[in-house]
Amino acid sequence: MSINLGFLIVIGILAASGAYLLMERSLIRMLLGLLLCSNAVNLLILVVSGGMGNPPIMGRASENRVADADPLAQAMILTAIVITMGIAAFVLSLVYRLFVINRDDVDVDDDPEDRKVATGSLRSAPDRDRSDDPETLADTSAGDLFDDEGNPLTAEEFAKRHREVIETDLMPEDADVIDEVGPDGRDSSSPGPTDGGSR
Amino acid sequence: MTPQPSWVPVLIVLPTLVPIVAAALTLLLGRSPRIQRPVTVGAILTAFIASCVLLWLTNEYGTFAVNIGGWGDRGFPNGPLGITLVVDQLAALMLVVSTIVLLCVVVYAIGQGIRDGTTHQPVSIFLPTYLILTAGVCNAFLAGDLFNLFVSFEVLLASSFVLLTLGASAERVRAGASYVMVSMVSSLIFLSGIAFAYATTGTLNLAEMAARLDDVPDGTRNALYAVLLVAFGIKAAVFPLSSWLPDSYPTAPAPVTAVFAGLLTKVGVYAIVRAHTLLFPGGSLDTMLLIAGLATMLIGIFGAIAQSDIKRLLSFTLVSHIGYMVFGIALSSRFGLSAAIYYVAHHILVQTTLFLVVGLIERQAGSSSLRRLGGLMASPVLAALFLIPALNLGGIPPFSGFVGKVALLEAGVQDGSVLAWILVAGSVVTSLLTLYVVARVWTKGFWRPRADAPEGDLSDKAPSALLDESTDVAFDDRDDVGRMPAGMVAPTVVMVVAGLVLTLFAGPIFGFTDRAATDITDRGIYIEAVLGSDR
Repeated sequence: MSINLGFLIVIGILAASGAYLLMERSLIRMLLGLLLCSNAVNLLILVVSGGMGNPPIMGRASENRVADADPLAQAMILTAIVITMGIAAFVLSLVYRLFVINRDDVDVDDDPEDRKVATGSLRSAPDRDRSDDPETLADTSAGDLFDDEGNPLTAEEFAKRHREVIETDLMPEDADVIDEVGPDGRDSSSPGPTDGGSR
Repeated sequence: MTPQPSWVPVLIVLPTLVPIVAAALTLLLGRSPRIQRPVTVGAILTAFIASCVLLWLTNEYGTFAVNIGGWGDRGFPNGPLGITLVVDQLAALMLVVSTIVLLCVVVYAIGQGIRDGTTHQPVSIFLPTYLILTAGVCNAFLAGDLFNLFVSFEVLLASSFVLLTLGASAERVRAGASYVMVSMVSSLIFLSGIAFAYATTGTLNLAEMAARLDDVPDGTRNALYAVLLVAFGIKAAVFPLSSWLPDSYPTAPAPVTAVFAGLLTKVGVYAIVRAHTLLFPGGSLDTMLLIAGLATMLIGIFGAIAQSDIKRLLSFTLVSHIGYMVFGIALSSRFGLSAAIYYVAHHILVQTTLFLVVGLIERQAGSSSLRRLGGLMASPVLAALFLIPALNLGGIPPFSGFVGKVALLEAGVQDGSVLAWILVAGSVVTSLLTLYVVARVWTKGFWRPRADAPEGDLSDKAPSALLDESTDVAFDDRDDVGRMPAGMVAPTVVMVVAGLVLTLFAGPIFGFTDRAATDITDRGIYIEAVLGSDR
């Protein structure tokens, strides 16, 4: 089987320009790149399926031609063209939608969550609690302290509460804390003043 | 091969054909969701039952093949001309697990739509598209022909594009655009791989191609394999080709993310298994695959550590655990393959379950971000539903994740090479880090009081079903969402139970995957089933 070098060069140029366009941010250019690439691949299938000029109908010999044209390659190309067309229509609808939303540009944006992670500080770390020390992320002594509604206590509030608890000798044991976890719904996991398992 | 009863060919096409016909029907019924729903569930249920029968048949009698239209049953020089569908034990197992997942997720989506959507939820386009996705996934497992595999990839991709951009909010269009582009590039690479394979062997039928590739020089074979691996690697999200996944999946509606996470990447893994065992045996690219598997595991899980949104965090663990399967495949031993097949089944179930649970969390607590969540322990049902699959994913004994990982580690140790030992170590580290990640979701989301979450006072206004239309409000002003709807909890429970079944019957299932692995390593069985015994 001989291969036509001209075709190969055309395929190379199409694929290269398509790949270049695919790197762009603009959705329209990416679509054009996609179309160029798909044409390159379709042409590739045509080239690898054998020489040109063979008769397309079985049993009808042409002069100097012994083989029939390969119908399989053409069937594949047809299928691929239809698929690409459908996807191109879908991408165009995405472009239109992006235009309706943004009005001025149809570039594909960065993932906002990605950006958050990239520019993130300890403050935005996923395991941070509101009561953690903002600098070191460490659990502060105030950290595990919540009143009965589950709101964090400030240091003064805690000190006051702590005194009350000690003065009235009501410091609960861990077991008591678990007993207290009770019927009051979603805040039940925040036991009183001691660190009874809220983390 | 035992003589095949005349109804077997009909059975093989059912998992593809029924959903496609049902998709057309539901499209016609777009105005009456009440009829759409039972048609959809019935179609997927039929596919599930057919898959179960196929599983039993392949287990009893071995591999079956059918040439659609009867073209090429006998002696064409280039193999069968028509579309060939082949079902062996591996394909049947994949079919059964996938149809369970598809069935549970569609029930979940319908339950969510009825409860949280408007009167026309799920939106009229959702169910037809979902059925097309079902047909694409099933057909990919059955395809006995490289081009047919390409077409089923396109079918499932095209429907996944629609499902991912449902409602076309700004966020989803952004995610959808990059997803569409990456997927299409992988499809074009696959298509050029097909062109090269056709040029090399003159056929597209997998069995015929497998027989002919033996005479092809090693360099050409490896080049062909590499092209196909890149194409499948993008679909399966293997490390250097995985960055698209966490960008696109989390923005989709919860049931859609669940089914994508469970199935789409595994279709890519399945394609890698087929290419690895049937077309290119001998493991010429094993070293590269092992390194890619290691990188996938570690980099995926490091990514997960940095995320505060549970959906994104789970997407990263999804990428990470693809590495385990690649590890098993790249060992090229019967044990490695058997463990990889078990792991694929385990991971499909557990990952889908987790995403469904996140859908429930999002509905009940108005967010899926660890910066907002807290106090979820208030609902013990939700806590149990999360904890079981989470521990399963982290590989805590006695769950199936542990069994699968132990099998993989054993296969790695049996291989004994330095690289295999490094991967064994890498797997253990990844497993520990996975446990760390899910434990953090547990401590922050479930144990911590919501008041202590940095943004705990914010929340979505109302639970959204399939459309992304929610705005942030103060948590206290949030609409009362009520209890978890039974239509969403029941399928999640079924999925959790399915994961536990995989644990309880690990012995018999491993026996089955062992036989499946033996069958796919002995290519003669597949080739004989398709081409007949005279060749």
